[in-house]
Amino acid sequence: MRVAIVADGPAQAEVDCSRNPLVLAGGLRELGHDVRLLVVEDAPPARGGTVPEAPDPDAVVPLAPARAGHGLASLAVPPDVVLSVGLSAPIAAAVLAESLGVPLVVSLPAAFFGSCPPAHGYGRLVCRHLPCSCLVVECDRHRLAAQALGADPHRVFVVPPGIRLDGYGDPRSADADRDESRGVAADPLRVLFDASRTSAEEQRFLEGVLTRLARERRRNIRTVVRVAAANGSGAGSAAELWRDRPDTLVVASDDGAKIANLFAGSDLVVIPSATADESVTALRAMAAGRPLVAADCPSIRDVVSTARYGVLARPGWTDEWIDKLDYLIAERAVRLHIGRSARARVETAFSLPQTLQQLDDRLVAVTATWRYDVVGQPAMD
Amino acid sequence: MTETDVADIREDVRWPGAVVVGGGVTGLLTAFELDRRGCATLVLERGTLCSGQTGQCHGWLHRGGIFPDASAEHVDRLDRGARRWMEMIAGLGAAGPVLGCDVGGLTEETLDAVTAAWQRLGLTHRRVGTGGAGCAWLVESPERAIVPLTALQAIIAGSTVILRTAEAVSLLPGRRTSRAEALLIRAGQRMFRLYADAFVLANGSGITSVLPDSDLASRITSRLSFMLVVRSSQVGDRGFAVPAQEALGLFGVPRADGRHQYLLISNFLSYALTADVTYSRLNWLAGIRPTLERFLLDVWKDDDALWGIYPAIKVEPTRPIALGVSSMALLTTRFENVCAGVPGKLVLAPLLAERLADAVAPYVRQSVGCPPPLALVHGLPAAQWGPEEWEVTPLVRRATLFDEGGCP
Repeated sequence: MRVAIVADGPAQAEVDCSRNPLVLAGGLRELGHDVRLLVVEDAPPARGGTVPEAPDPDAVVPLAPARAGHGLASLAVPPDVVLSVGLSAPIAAAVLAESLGVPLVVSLPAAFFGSCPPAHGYGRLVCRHLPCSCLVVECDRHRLAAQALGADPHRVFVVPPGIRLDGYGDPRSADADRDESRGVAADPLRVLFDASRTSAEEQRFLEGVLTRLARERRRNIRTVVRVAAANGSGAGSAAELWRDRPDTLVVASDDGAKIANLFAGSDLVVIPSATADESVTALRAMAAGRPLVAADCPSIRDVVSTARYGVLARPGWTDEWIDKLDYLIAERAVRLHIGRSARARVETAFSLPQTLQQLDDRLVAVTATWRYDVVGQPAMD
Repeated sequence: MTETDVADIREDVRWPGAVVVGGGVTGLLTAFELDRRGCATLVLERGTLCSGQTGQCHGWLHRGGIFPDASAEHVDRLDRGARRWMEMIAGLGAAGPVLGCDVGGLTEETLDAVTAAWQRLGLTHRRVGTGGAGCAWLVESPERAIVPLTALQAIIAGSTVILRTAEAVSLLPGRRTSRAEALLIRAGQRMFRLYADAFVLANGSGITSVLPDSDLASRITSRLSFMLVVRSSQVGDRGFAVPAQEALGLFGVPRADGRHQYLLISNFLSYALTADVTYSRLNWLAGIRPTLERFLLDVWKDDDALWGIYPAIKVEPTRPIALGVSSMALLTTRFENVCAGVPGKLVLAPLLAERLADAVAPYVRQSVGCPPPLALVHGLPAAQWGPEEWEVTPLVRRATLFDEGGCP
């Protein structure tokens, strides 16, 4: 099947997740599809201010929404389906699909339902008025929100985001030996904090929590702070905030394998941010089989649905964070239980092959039921 | 890639017996019952065994005394269930963890109402004083509690039931439309068509997604309640309850992990599943707090105690009026070889298991002497046991859980 993916631009931070159009395009190619990736030119720039280079530059075609129909010229053979990925892409994708007379599938990104969603009118336009065959959302919460914006309930489908598990190996095999020695004086417990999306205020909150944890509970921990290497929003403030702490290591990395190693090498992951969408960080922790303590907010709850997959604490409640971190640090068995359940959960619900397969099923179903009749009017069976 | 290609990547597994979906108390007891009748039985659990509703409950085997509005029919049924549990556990030899339970209260009227149910069943109780703080009377009751995970582990250990990890997706009809031919399942990232003689759906709230008839889904409902977990040196080794008339049905059942003593505390307060969990939890904590201060003062005042809370989903048959004790629901589907059920109460699970086994056993071939080779299900990973929910619940200080410090 030929698929044209119309995307805002590859998101640099999510190099291992299906939310990145490059990952999505590569995965669909591995499933045997002929995929062309078209990037909307005047879409909001990707994190870092530039659209990063694609591994296969020939496969990425710039596309201006006002002249989306002209994108036809770049497609030697018309696609069987157009897939929109991103916040700004649906309009250009719709023009392209209508011009070609092929079905349109709109994958609504998490940002569409996040703390700073697009204007209500744009939401209604995409969910209700755009001539698309189906809307793909990431979870039931997004499905209900899309329906509230006027989407036809019969055309909204949930395909959870998927994360690449290759880099994480199987944490269960090495867990027991590695974990046994942690927490003693020579080998402190490693707490990982991914600061790449976290606001300065939330970082200060976490810093306060960790300081009190060390002072009041006398826990032997070492904090590893990951910042985005390429001018990430949290990088400057994070380095400054954490620099003077002797028990803290700041690591700048955007490489997928290195990120996986960071998570796999930690004992506990903390996600204090309730304002940014940190679901990919939570997925990485779960993929590494590490327990996490995360801010209790909708985007995290979509992934960490029960206490078996991770611990949630109310954002801003210092005592609750200290108590819960303290308990997890003290209880190795609880850490192991949560880590193992989380890993199993990611394998069954949030792995990249799983996501690709579900998306593939959806695309196949759409093209199989789509008919473009002789008079030129699109019709659905 | 076409739809046919997608179907082709699914592998076929043929199981010469019954398949039970759900590794909780209903699924495991049904599998045990089918195994006892000579049917090769495969249990599929998507998470870990006894980790859903079974892993969330405290394990009290109700006999009706604590419920003020239990009818005679209810009491008899509960008693039959409790006796069946005790028979099964006694049959294990090493009896497993059966906990004695005390019931306390404030007024003599409540005592009479509670003991009337036991007297009717010919069960004895013994008055043992006032029970310390809070209670005006306390009796050593004929009711018992178990640790479901431990009990079921011991029960299944003596059978040839095969336990595997997989998630049921949907039932596939056979050539004869009155029967289901296979079950589409997902194990890790692989899909399988699992062919078998009969299927039992015992996966609690997950039943509705697999049920072939959507109208049957309306016959079961779920409600949200909570369970408190307390780790304290003040926790004893006996269960404790105060009837609904005086404390909204306060229950406390002990657990231990070798290092610490824990107490699981619940009551009858519950919420619609659509309610906001955060507000429901706050409301529930506010509701149970006065009863804790009154009836579990030692634990409440223990400064070293750690507290936790987890949501406990309860799946029950739909009732027009929620009075009396929840009963069990047996759902027969349009496929004659597929049956589903929820027990409503842990104590009723053995009775439901017998009825589920009765319903599907006629369609299952008898295994001749030896169990089916494990090679048949080699693609499905072995299922793991537990842990129970309290074991993975993060514990905090009481002041933190009950927001005694106020909003930050």
